[in-house]
Amino acid sequence: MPSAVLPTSERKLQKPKPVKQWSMALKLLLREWRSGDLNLLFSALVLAVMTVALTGFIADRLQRGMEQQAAQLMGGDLVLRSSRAVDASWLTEAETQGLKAVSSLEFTSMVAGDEGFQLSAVKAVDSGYPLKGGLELEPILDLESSELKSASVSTEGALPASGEVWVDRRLLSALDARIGSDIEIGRELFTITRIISKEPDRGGGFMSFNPRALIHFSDVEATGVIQPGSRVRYRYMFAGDMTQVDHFKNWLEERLEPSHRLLDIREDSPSVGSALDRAQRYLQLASIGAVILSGVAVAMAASRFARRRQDTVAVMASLGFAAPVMGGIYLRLLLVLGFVAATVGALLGFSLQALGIQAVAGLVPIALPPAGWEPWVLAIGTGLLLLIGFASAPLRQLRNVSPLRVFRRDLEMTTPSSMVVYGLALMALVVMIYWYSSDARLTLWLTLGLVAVLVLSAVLTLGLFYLLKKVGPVLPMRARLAVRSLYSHKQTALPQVMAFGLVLMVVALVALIRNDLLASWQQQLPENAPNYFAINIQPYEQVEFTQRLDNAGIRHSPLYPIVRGRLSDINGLPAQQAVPKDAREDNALHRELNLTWHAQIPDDNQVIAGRWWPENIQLKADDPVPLSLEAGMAERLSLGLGDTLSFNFTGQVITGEVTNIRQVNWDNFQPNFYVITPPGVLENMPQTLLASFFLPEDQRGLVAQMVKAFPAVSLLDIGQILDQVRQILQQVTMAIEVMLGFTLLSGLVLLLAAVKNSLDERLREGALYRTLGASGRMIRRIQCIEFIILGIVAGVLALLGSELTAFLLYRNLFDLDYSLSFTHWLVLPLSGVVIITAAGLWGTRHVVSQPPLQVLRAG
Amino acid sequence: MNAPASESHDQNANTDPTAAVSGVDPLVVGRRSVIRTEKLMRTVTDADGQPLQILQGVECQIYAGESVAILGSSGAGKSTLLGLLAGLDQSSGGEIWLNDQPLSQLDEEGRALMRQQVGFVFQSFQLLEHLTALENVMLPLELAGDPDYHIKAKQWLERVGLGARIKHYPRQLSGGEQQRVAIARAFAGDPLVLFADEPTGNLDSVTGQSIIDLLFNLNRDQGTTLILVTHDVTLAQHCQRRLTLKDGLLHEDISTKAGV
Ligand SMILES: Nc1ncnc2c1ncn2[C@@H]1O[C@H](COP(=O)(O)OP(=O)(O)O)[C@@H](O)[C@H]1O
Ligand SMILES: [Mg+2]
Repeated sequence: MPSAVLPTSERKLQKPKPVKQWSMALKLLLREWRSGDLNLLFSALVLAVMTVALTGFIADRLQRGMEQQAAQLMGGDLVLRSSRAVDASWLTEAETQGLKAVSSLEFTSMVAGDEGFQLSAVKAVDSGYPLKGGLELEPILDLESSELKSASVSTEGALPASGEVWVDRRLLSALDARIGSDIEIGRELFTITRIISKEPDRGGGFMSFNPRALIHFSDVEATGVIQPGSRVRYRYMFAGDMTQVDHFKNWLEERLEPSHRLLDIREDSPSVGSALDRAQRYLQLASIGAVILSGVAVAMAASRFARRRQDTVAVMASLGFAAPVMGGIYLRLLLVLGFVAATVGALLGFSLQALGIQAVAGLVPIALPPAGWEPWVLAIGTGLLLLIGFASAPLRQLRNVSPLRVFRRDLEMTTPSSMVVYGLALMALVVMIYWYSSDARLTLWLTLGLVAVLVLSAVLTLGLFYLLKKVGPVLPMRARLAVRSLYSHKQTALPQVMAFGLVLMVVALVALIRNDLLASWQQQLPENAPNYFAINIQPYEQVEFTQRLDNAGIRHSPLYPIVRGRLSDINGLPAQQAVPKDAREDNALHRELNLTWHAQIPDDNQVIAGRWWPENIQLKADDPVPLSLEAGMAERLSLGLGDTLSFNFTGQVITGEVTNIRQVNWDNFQPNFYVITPPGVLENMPQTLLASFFLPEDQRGLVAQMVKAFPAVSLLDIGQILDQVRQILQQVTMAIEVMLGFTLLSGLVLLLAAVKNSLDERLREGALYRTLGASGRMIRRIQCIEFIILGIVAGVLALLGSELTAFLLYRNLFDLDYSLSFTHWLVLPLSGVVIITAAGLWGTRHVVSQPPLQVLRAG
Repeated sequence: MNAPASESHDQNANTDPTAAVSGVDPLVVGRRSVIRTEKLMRTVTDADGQPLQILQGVECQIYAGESVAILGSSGAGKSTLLGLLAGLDQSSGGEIWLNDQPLSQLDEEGRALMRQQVGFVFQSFQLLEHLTALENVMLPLELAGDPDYHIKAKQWLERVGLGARIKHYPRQLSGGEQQRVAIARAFAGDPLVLFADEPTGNLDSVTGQSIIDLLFNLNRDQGTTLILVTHDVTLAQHCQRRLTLKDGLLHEDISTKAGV
């Protein structure tokens, strides 16, 4: 290896001091660089860092984008909800801390127009509203010129002036009013000046069943609606950068009273919250997957490099540079290389991310905010960690090369103690997983899963190789030679097959979870998810209401009966006294709850404690009434199985016993109920009915007809909310696709690194086989059989590994149902064979293209 | 082994003895030539990218059963020539007939078949380190599709005196023992010609001598043509013919020119 023989002048440095070791390392780096032997290690490192940087940047930007989007749904980054006005100093404090703050007030009130009344959700907002997103208005049609007087639909900060009210279409048609009409809210008269088409923070939940009227905060006083004891809800919305928000949140939390509720994105809009949670977990998991793959690639490249440098070190050692010194020089060289690779990788990742996001900018509904600095640290830190964890052990081994190797080529370096190698790698992994996820549970599960999968697959693979070797003699010649070659190379074949298996497993897992996540979102919000709720349908209207929808060809849910009742007593005590102090302000105690009856548990609901009643239950007059309670409410009010609850239905009281607690899926925009009884309890109570249906865009006209035909029925349009949630899901989906792509890419690199790792050996053996009479084609066939076996083994390992990990992750992290998929069982081993054989044959294509003598001469 | 002259493809020797090119002795007409070369050239590019002519028109003819020593200074191109003759490398010009088959007209499959008729012993043994001695010797037999590969390989190891070490890996064997395995492997395929490139170069003189004895015994017993490259004068003396490679050309030693 002429490249490593130092010029005579440098031989004077018989015992280089550490400083000299550095300069030696730098000189050597240049030489090694030219030799091309560092290419694989360098590319693996660059790719690892690039992947982490890229995914880090994208995840970071998407995360910010999604949070922004979710903050819009909520009205601010942080929202304080209260039933009373908070001290004005809190708002001043927010502003001194650099945050923007806006107050709003919501109440339900009867609104009177010339033609009738309508119960409405009135919202009074202060200047500065909305903090997040835009309030959009329908354009005003100037009747005289028949032109749009206001083409711009965005308010750009404008708000109803004093004495003005902005309403939504629903209120307009319910009151049969027009722009310019006067309506009465409380004691005050307002003029309708604009029609709201889109309200950013309409938010989830069913608080806003009623049509909207928007007035200025300063007009509230005059309406006289705010009286002691009246149910109003103040919302204080704050916006600022993350650290400011966090800081202010801490400040607020110290001062909260029981009547206050601090909302963050996750709590206020659960459907978005859980999607965000799961998406975030997914992004983390996929980048962890990509890093594990890259890490193994780095390890393989490093050990190949170390193997190829044994001779150099031996020669240098025989020239007086002790092997430990040379080992130290190589370690320094590695460190410099790592820094260069990490920087290059991070830069590449950043530019690719910028380009990539630009390229899809048209497809994404909103512009993504720029990335923060964290991904830089993450990426470069990852590069160095990978180096320490995965590459330092093989290179350290160079210290143990014996100078005697100059004479006896067969003196191999002592192989590094596997405890050191795996221990270091595992440590680096744990640090990285925890760093990416800040989730101890995830770290634990993943690490345990990985170790289990690795140990298991090592044992399985070795066992299989042994078995194959045993049956070897009865196999035809090529298969026999392939099996023997695999068995005899188990030291390299084992890591190779495990690397292949790891690639398949991680890619399969990342793809599997992607599919299931997307499917679950798709299912949650299908194209024709109900976009209208109809409430307050009177029992006598039931038939006609259904008919109207059916005649128009509208798909609708069954009509659910709703009985409204107040939770009056718990275990014989007045409810207020029976619950813990901090639950006394809970909504459930202050308003009528919607109850219904069901023989079977509703779809999407799950009993988590107790048992659902038998389907054919027949309650007799004196039987205790079993109750099914929603889990969140049970938790908030500290209620459990066996507690007795009394409900007051305008005078009639029914007492029942909680026999099961039910988990409700709040994400699916289906009617959900806090309390359910069996049939035969509530049928005679005064009741209304509720239905949901999907109204296509071109049939919107039906709304006005329905409102006219059923004046008492409230039609709630949730299309807007659905759209917002869909937009978020779309972004999340894109992030997930990007991650999948990059995991695939890192998988490919590892695949090639693993193939390359055996290349030197294969080259020499291929040449020797040919001196013994094998043709190139026969060697290729033998290799092909080897790769097919490796592919099958890797495929099966990946299958077991991914099923096991999926089983653990689905329940614990993604709240998805795990099920064995049989296509998976077919596709994984099959694609394992195809991919690994293709990559293997491609990676070793030069084995038979060079004349054998030249190969042997080089060795 | 002595094929009738009429079957020889060696037209020069056959039809017009006077037109013999240098290196082909008219007196040996009638013996079957195993290897013949004509204007054999080999040019490589050295480290600076300059063309380097290693072989500049080698002419030679080697007959069945002969033992031939190829001599020459280090770097003369001996290994290169041997590799070309064995079909392990590609020439830059000229022609090689191996057992009357012009190598330049063969494709890789054909060359592979030809290679089954030659054996090769290297200075650095070139055993497959991950295979046992037995598995190493089995390889050429298996590649040739011999169903008795196991028994034959064992017998060959016994013949080279390693019957007790068939399960050993190369690294568990001494240099001399490794070379014995390599020789067993080379002879196992029952080659027409055995090439040995400095087979004793890595061994001490006593071990080297035993290897030489082994080679010549097998050469005699099997009737194999033996072509070896060596610096070892005693070894060269054992050979019937001595050829010296110098300045890219092959010259026959006067003492052996007439053949034996
Ligand atoms: N593929 C090759 N590329 C470059 N140089 C080569 C190649 N093959 C042989 N040489 C050079 O040709 C010369 C002859 O080599 P070789 O046949 O090994 O000599 P010998 O065996 O006689 O010592 C040497 O200088 C060697 O470096
Ligand atoms: Mg040589």
